Amino acid sequence: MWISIDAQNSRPIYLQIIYQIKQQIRQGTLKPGDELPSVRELAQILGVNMHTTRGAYLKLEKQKIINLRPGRRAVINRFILSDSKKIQEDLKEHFQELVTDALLAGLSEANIRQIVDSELEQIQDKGGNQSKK
Amino acid sequence: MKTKLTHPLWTHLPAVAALVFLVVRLIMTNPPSGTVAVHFNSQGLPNGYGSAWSSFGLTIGLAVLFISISTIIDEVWAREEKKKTFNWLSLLDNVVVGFLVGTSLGYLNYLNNGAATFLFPWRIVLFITGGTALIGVLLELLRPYKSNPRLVAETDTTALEKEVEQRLKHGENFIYWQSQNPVYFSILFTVVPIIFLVIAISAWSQTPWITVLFLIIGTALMIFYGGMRTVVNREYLTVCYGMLGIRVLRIPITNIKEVKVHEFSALRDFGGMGIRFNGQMKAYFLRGSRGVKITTLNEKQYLIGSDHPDELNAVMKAFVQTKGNSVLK
Repeated sequence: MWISIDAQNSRPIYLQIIYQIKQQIRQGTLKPGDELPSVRELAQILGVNMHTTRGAYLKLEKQKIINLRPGRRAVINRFILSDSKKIQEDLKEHFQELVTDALLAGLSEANIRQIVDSELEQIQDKGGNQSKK
Repeated sequence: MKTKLTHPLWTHLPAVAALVFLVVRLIMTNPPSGTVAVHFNSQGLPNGYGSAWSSFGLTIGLAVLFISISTIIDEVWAREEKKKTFNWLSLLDNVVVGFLVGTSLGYLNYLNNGAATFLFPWRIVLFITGGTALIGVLLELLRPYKSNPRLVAETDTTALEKEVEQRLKHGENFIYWQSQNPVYFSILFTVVPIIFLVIAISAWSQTPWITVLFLIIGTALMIFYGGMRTVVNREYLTVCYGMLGIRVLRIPITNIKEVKVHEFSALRDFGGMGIRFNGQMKAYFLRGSRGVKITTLNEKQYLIGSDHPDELNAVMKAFVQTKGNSVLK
C-alpha cells in the first residue's frame, strides 16, 4: 500500500488518505483481507497527527470499506457494498457539492460533463487493461 | 478443489512402516495395563511409574506428529526446488520415528521380561533407525523431480513506478508500506507466550525464579506478535517486527546501488524463515519464495521477502532513480 501526502493540495490530509486507499482498492492493488498499517504507525511514518489517520480510518470503516479491530491492524473488508441506496444518496450529495463548486468556479455544464466522461473512460480503460492481463 | 502434492508420499514409507510395526507388536504382545515403571535413571533403575499404554500412546502421537511435520517440510522443499536436489530434511521422520520405535520395542521387551533394570536397547534402536534412514536415503534418491510453475504471475508495475516517480518529483511525502503476517506467526507468538505465562503462574509457589524467567521470556515473545513490516520513504527502507515495530533493518535510499526481484527457497537457501544469513546476504521474510534483493554501495546484500515483490521492486526503483545513483535492471 502506498500513501502520498501533497502539502500543496487544498484537500485535507485525511481526505487524501481516504481517496488513495479507495483508489488502490479500485485498481486492485489493495485486495479484500489485505492489512493496513495501524493508526499510530501510519501517523508515525507519514509524520502527521494520529487524529488525522484515525479520522480517515473511521470514515473508511463507516463506509464499510475497512474493518477496524481492537489490538489488530485494519483490514480491507471482504464485503464492500456496491449497490446500496445509501451509497447512491451519499454520492448524489457529493456530486451536488462538486457541481456547485464547479459552476461557481466558472465551468460550463459541457466542461463538467467532459470531466466526468473522461474520468469514467479512464476507469473503463484501466478495467479493460486489467481484465486483458 | 483438489490440491495435488508435488512430492510423492511414498518417501515417508519407512517411518510409517516402522510405526505400523510397533502398533502390530503392541497388539500382539499386549503390555500390562496396570501401573508400571515408565521412567528410569542413568543406571536403568525405575524412578517414575505410570501407565504403559500412556507411554506408548505418547510415542505413537510423537511419531505421527513428526511424519506430519516431515510431510509439510518435504512438500515445501519440492515446491521450491528448480532442479532435483537431495533433501536431507526428508530423513527427519525416518530417523526420529525409527528411534522412537526402536526405544519402544526395547521397553516392550523390558515389560514382558520383567527385568529389574531397563538397559537402553542400543542395538534395536541402531538397527531400526539405521534401516529406516537408509531406505529413506534410497527413496529420496528415487524421488522424481516435478516442476512446479509459479502460482503468482509477475505483475506489470511500470505504471506504478512512473506514478511514484512523478509524485516524488512533485515533492509529495510518499510512503510505501507492506506487511507479512502469516497465520503461523500469529499463532506462534500468542500460544507460546500463553503457555509460558501459565507455567510462570503455576510455578510461583514452588520456584519463583522460574516464574520470573518464564514471565520475561513469555513477554519478550509476545512483542513479536504482529509480523513483519516493510516501509519505504524518501530517506530509508525500513524493516520492522512485532507489535512495537522493533526496527531490524534500516538502509538509507542513497546507499542503495541495485534493486531487483529475487527468487529463493526458504529451506534450501536460508534453512528457514525469519531473519537469516546465508553467507552472501541477510534475509528478512516470514513466508513466500520471492522478494527484493538490495545491493548497497558497499556491496552488502539484503533480501526483503514480500507478498508483492514486483510492487516493492517498482517502488524501490522509483525511489532509487529519483536519487540518481542506481544501476537499475
